[in-house]
Amino acid sequence: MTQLTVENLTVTYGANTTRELVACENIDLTIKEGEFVTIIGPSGCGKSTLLHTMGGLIAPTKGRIRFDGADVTKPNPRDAAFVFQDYSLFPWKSVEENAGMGLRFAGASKAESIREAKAQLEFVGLKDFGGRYPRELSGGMQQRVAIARALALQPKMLLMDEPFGALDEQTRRNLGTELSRILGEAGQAVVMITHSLDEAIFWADRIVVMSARPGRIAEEITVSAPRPREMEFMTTPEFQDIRVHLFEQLEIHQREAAERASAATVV
Amino acid sequence: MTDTIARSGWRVHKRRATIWALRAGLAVVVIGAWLYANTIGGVSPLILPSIPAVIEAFVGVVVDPEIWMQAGVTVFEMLAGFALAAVTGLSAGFLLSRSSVFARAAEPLLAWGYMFPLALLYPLFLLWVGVGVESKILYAALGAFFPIAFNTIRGLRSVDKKYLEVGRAYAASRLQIDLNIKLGAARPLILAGLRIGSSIVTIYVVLAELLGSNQGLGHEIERASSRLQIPDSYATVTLLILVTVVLQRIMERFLRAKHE
Amino acid sequence: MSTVIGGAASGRPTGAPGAPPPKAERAANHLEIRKALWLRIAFLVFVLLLWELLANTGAVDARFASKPSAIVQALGGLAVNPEALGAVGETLLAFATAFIIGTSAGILLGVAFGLNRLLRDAFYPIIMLLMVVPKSVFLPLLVLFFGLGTAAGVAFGALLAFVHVTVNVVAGLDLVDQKYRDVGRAYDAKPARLFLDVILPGAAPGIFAGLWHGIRNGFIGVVIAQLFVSTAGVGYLVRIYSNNFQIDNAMALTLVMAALVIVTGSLWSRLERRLTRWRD
Repeated sequence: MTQLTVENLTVTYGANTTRELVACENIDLTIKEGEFVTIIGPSGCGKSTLLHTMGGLIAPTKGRIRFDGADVTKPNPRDAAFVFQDYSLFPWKSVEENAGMGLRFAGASKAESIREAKAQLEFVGLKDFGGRYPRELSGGMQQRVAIARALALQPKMLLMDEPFGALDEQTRRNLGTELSRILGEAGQAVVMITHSLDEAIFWADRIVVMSARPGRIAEEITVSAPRPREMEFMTTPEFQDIRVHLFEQLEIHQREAAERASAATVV
Repeated sequence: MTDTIARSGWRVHKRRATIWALRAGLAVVVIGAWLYANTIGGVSPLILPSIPAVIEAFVGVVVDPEIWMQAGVTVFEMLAGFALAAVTGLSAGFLLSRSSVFARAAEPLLAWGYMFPLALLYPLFLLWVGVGVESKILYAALGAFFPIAFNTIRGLRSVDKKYLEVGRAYAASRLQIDLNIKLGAARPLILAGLRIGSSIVTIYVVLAELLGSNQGLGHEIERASSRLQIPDSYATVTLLILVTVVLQRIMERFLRAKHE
Repeated sequence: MSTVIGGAASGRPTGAPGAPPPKAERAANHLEIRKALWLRIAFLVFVLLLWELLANTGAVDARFASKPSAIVQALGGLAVNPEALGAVGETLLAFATAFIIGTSAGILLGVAFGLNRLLRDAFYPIIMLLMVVPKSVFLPLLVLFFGLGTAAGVAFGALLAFVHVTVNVVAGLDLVDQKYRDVGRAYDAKPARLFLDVILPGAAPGIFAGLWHGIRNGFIGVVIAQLFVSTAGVGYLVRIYSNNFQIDNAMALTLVMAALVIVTGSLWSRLERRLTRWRD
């Protein structure tokens, strides 16, 4: 069943000024319950803007976002909880306070939020780190805390903005396999932005490819292999075919963007 | 392996020894200069009394219950002045920071207040408030108010946007953002302001006691000096230093963020 | 961390994805700065008018609290009063002397501590202790040593400046990231080069902040000492004016000194921002 719809969305920064900038344009997209969608595209193509708009953090200039049929005008983390690229944990709060912070904001008591935070920390494999502070944790562990913070609200959907962007290759891979278990068990729908072709394919039921600025949806690719997937999936023909195709597409979009940029400077 | 550990342990040990040797060297120089001044240098004991005389005076001062009463007055003035400055400075900073225009308008005024040579107003303060305990408390609080309010505004207004974004994404209310995010992110700067404030309070209380008062350790120093009981004056200075250092240490324990 | 006030602003917040173009933001900022300026002026005018009004209606006693119009009048009188002008000159001279002695000693010691770990471990705690001690307790002792003249004021101002400058210079040198030192070492830089090209520029923020504190504390030290004991300078004159109930004169002279130190400090902050602009 359809959960979130993006209808004819356009987001423009600095509208009606000389420096008007169209971040994304005429976007239509639907996310179904429990579906895992990855968004990939050249840098600066407005994918982050799209995700922020889906989460109610940025208002659409044109078009609308609906969640379960209702208009999204402000963030509602019980529907769609946001996971930030740079984790954005509060350094002055302990790990379990951080994990319970979303619940606290939603009005839960301290005791209740800590209880739920502990459960979620155990779920993401950080049972013994509740009393620590974020700076004592590695990047991968911090991102797991941020995911626990989102999961504690039991949201219907997770919006993840390049959650592994700041991690090294090895950590990404380990965290990736672990998360595919976690998210598989939790059963939420997930929309995830990534720069990595492998990640985009490995995780997704559906891949959304965006073109260079102004960002439009260039293509949607369905990945048919059932989830959760094992590492071996990366050696299958389906994976390889999609990877080659994606690589070519992104190359084209990237080149277009570069050409347009140089044309703009000539004018 | 064990050999290198033993050796590095030995090196640490040797380092410690060198540090203490250097300190001992400084102490020897100071005491030597003091002795020299007392004897061959011919410095008058009315300027620099002999070391035994100061020690004797110190013992006399410490066993005198009266002096501890006076120390109590001084400590009370410091604590009350600090509490007053903290409450007013934090609330002013908090309220002003809620409006970006007000904060911008206030920041330079507060910085000027911090630079203002408040000492010059103390004689007038005596006229307005009298020589009692109140004038010391008000005076010290006024001096400490400015850095506390200034740093509170700076701290609350320079919160990293990414933390505020989390609050927005998780639908936090304005009060929740203030309490859980802004206050937390601003804590190091606010605490720094409070530490500056606490040191200003001690400086101004002592100064005010020296300049015009009838109680407190500063007054005792002033009295001993004017009666030319110089060893007593040295001894009381030492006591005052000890008392304020202990007080500052205790306050600093409270003014340090847990995660720092 | 002790140098927040007066030091340059802390790091910029990171932008949200696709933040609005800077131009629009700058225009909004500009408007806000203007508004803040007017608000500030309005506030000061309001306070002065209120003061004047309260004094004129007798709600506050103008004999004790003076009033703005009387202070302005007194300023005019002081401007042609040789005694007051002499006092201002004397205090500024004492401040300059104290500042030079205190800051140069502070910079020397701070750099020594920054470069030599052993010296620092041995003696820095003593400076930190001095930082915590209310330095006004040394006034009576300084008077014993230097007498009632200007020298006690210079000594006290220099002492205050020295302590604050040392602490800030050490903090500034700590700011120089080890990785930059390592770059220097990896390219086999001579110690003098390393110091001039790597450590000193890196420590500039701390040194600037230190000198700002040197200005403020050197000045306040001189004034305090004059107020306490001296028979010369602004502090002495303010004391005499206050004791003789010439409140207008005392206030006016205080304002002149406040203006001098605030202008100096602000100019310094501006210079600092200009010279360390590479940090943004």
